Amino acid sequence: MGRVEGVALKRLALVWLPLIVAASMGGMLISPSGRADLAATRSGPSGAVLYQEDCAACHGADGRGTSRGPSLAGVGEAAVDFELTTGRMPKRDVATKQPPYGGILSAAEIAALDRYVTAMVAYGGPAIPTVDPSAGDLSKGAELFDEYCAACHGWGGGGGILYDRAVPKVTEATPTQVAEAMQVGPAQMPVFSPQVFSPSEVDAIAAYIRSVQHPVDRGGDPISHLGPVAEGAVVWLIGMVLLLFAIRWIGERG
Amino acid sequence: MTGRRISRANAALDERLGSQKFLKKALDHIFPDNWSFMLGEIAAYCFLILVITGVWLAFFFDPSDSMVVYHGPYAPLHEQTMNLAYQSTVNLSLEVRAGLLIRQIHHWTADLFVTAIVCHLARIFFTGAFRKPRELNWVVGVTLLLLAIFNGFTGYSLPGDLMSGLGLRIAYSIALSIPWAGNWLAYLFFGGQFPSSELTHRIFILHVFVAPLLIFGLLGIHLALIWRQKHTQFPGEGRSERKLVGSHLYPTYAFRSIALLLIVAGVVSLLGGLVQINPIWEYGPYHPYLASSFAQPDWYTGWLEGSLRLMPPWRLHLFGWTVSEVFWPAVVLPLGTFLLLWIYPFVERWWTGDHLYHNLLDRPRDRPGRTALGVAGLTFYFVLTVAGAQDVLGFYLDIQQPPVTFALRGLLIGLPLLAGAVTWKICRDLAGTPGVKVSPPVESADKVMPPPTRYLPDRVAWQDPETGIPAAGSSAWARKAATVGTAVTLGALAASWARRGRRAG
Amino acid sequence: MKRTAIFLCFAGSAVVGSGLAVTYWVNGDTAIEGACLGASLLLAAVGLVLWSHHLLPNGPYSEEYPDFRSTPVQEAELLATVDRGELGRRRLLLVSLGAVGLSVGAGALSTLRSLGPPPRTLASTVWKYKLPLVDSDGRPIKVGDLPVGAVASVFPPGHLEDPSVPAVLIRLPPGTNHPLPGRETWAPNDLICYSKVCSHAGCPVNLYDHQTLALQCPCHQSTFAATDGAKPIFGPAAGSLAQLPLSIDLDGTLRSAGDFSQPPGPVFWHYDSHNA
Repeated sequence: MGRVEGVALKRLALVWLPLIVAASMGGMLISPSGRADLAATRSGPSGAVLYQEDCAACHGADGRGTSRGPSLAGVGEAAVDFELTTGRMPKRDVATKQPPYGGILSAAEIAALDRYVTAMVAYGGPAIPTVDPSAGDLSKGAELFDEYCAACHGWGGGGGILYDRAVPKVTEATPTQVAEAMQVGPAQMPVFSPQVFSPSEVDAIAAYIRSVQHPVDRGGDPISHLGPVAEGAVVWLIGMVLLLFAIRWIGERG
Repeated sequence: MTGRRISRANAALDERLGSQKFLKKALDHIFPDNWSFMLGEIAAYCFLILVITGVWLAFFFDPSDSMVVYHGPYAPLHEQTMNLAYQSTVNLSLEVRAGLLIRQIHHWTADLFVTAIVCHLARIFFTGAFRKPRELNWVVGVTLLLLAIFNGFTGYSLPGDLMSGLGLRIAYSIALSIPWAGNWLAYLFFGGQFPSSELTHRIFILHVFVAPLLIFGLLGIHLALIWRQKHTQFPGEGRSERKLVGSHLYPTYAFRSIALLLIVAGVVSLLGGLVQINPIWEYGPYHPYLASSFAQPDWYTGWLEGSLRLMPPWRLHLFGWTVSEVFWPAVVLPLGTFLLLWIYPFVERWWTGDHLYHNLLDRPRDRPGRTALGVAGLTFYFVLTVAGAQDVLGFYLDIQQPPVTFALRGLLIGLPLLAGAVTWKICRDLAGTPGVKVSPPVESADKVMPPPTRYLPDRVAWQDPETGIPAAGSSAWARKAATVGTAVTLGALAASWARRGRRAG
Repeated sequence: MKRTAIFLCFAGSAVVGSGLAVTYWVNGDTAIEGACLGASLLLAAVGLVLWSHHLLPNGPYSEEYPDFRSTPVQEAELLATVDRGELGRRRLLLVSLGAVGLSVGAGALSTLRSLGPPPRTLASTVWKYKLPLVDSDGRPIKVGDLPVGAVASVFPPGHLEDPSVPAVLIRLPPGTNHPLPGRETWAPNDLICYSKVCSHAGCPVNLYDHQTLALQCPCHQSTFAATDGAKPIFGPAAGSLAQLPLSIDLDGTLRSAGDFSQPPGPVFWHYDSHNA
């Protein structure tokens, strides 16, 4: 193989191949998002009007579902409130990313929609629960969280992975959203029913989730609470790199 | 002029030990100056720091599996049941002054210890420092790597927190999977069915007593061999297979070495104080019914974690006996890895036919075959380590698990081949740059041994004696590896993309 | 000039280093202690390196590599020394000594057995007929406690820390269960119970997805179909999770109807003989 050919092959390897690899990986990341700014279309907190504007297209004018969205019959006010306050609903696109944990609609609009949808079709399911995290036993909540929640949501509520989707963080969830999620079992999350989890246990879990928003990171920078993955990266990219610079300097002659 | 006190001390020592000649020879000992020769020292100093901080920690840690109820100041753990090991570690971290600092220094140093050993092993490999007469030192060094990884594993498994408990459960299952003697071996090492009441105590003895003693002894042999055989050096001005050029042990090398110790200690102190590691109070205590997402081990066992995740579910049933699907990735792979590492100098000697002494090092570019093999090997274990965090990868890249797993399996096979081929080509291209002319290595100089009939084995890519340019080798293998490697890598990535599917809303 | 720089490094290091002691006595802040200790050590190191680079002789100095091959005369001398023992002629005695080593060694090695209990059967767990399913607080689960899509983590009473017994109780949507032959009565009222111990490497299978009706283990992402006897559908696990047969009392309490369908957890060499 001649030198010219060799140089071309080296360029192929060092420039084009990494670009192709990177591009194909980047391609996998693209998932169209497109949550249009719905605030511009609202016209005041009337539940019926909001429903027609933001929900009926997928859930049906009577709330009993279409091919684009499931029926809301009997889901309960808790489910409606959860989906709206976390910002999962209303949405324009099937493949949107992890919710931002902030509602898209205002609190007044959400309250209006809650009442409207519940009265129309969602009655019969769980009502919006009352939660008091201050009354919750923090350590009982930690135990219950580790037993039931940590496998999906992580020991610190930082998220996790299911076979076909990411599991969202819970660190930004409000106590009401926590209790609603447990009762409703939104998306792939199972139901943690009130018969198994008493109100004091729900309070406890909510108290624990509130506490992980301000974790006790006595040891210094928590490096995203990722555990050994981040620690390994620090050891190689900071520790070993610093030491490599150091020994290169030491190894010089005076 | 040395002072009177030093002369008097020297005389006193010499009268009792006859140490004059030894000390002169020792302090005159030459060490060559290249920066890459200090990687092993980093590891040795890490071990020293581990022993010092470890002794301090051992005064506070209670290696017991007895269950207690927590009554300390950390509210989320209040009144939880946990073992004494966990409770003493939480107490050490949150209530003992400087406890968390020393504990974090200890853990960061442990991670850095294995990191430095791996870098050092790579340097030895790529420069051919393991060749005759230093094969024994290579074997000792690989054993030290194994012991360092083992001691790191036992170390982070001691506190009895959720993450390390899961790791021990997996280790128990791996021991169980060993054919014929598996469940007996598992009971032997774990003190009974998992988690026995003996477990933490047993791990403690291994971590604090058995492994450090072995490391200390082997490290001593390792250093003694370097002392006796003298350090290798790169070819250069005034250097040869006979003549070692560098600085004296005292004063230059001693000052630099102590400076390196202080730098290593300084870096791990900064990390130990400023960057949190293993916050076990946040994980909670281990119970057999608890698990968490993103449960990875420390980085140096990540390759085993990755191999367990990527291995297809192939379980063997042979005449009424069962070979578990974890046997291959978690027993055969690590044993095979270390076996290959141990025998490598002897395999290379057989393959190249090179039985000569080598005190001069190779530039990696002058040995394209060995360098390509090394890069391919490192890439293989790197992909495995990344695969150990395949769920974290899927979470942050927003890709489902099946495509991530499939892609990583393809990368595991394709990327090492590709990386090896590319490395080979780069070495060959750089081989145009002439090296320092080296006289052929000697069997043994001016002794009564008959000289060998040929100096230069046929298969060694040796230098042209006139120009110093290494001889050409065949590119056929590299081409095949490049083709297969590219095809498998790109094919796996493409197939994973095609299968990625749409996420549920 | 260089000496001043080195002196300043050491002086600075001493000053910063005192911060470690001061912080310790004042309030023990980990970050400040670590920063002071680290900075002090690094400053001292810089001083030492400057000293070695600029104030110490740097050579180059040289010495000779040792020759290791001895002369044939020396070799013959050593072999003659070794031969003094005349061990080459004492084959019978050496063999009998070897036999001593083997027999005593075998005995000594056997004492290792005391380090562990005799291997007992891994086949059975504490679960047996008519034990109530309780949660981690000891409260029995009743049939009405779980709506569709709900899960609970269950144990036999009094065995919370036993690693082979944890199980997961699921309420499947009606009509989705495809019981394996012989297990048609094991899941009354769409309530189905599987061992939590993963058949791959033993981690608790604590994830449940109630849309795909799949159980997943967080350690290596093995996924099992809860509707089809927990058979593995993705990941490195090759075996199904063990299933616990259920029965319902008159008052609605859920009870086990026997032990698991197979030894729970990862397999081992003798697994098939335990699983007859």
